[in-house]
Amino acid sequence: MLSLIVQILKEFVEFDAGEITEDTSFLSDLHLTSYDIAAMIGVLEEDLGIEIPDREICNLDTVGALMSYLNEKSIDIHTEDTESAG
Amino acid sequence: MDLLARGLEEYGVSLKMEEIIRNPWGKPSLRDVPVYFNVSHSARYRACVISRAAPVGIDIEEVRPFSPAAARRVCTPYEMDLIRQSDDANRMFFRLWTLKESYVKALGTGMAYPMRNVNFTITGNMRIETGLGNCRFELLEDHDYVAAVCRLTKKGIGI
Repeated sequence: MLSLIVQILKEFVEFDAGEITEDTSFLSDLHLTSYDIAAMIGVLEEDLGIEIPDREICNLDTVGALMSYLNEKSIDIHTEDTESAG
Repeated sequence: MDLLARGLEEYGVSLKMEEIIRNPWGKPSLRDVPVYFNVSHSARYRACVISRAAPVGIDIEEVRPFSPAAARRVCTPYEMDLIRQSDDANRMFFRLWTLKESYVKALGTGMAYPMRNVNFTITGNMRIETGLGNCRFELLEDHDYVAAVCRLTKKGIGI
């Protein structure tokens, strides 16, 4: 999940991929704008086939918070797929 | 001097004497003075709006190729049509984006407010129409930049 986030971030900011950790803040460390964040979330939604509600976005302020959220979402999707297949 | 400090001076407010507080979504305001402000910056410009009447929001963006993923996230189907039918899709997208961003900045909610909930119509003479009864909008443009200003009316305060 980290590599996917790093890959998408490269579209918006220049950084050394080795500097990105779970504690990296989108606003204070990477200086993303609201537009960058909307675009990043939009790309993640399309790539992963999920929807991230606007009210959740403010809580996803670090790379780690976004990773945890996406991992949880992916588990939900996987569980739903397994249940519907069964 | 900083653009905001200079602007506030015209309203008789010395920024260095005032305490800045932030709401739960991070919007700054003056703790003790009923003067509202908002700032934005893009690659080349800084923009600032100040009002004694009610909360305000401003956003400025350089017109550049926009992200279709961002457009899908924040635009209504009507607005997506406006972009598709425009001679300058990038400019039309950033008009809509700055209008939406200025609104959520005026409200003070930032991205927690679903931008797709507001539908904007931009008429030929650049009049801005929305279904919102709580605010007024203005678009300012030059060749490379678009800026939008939102002023909440008194009815809009406290949302």
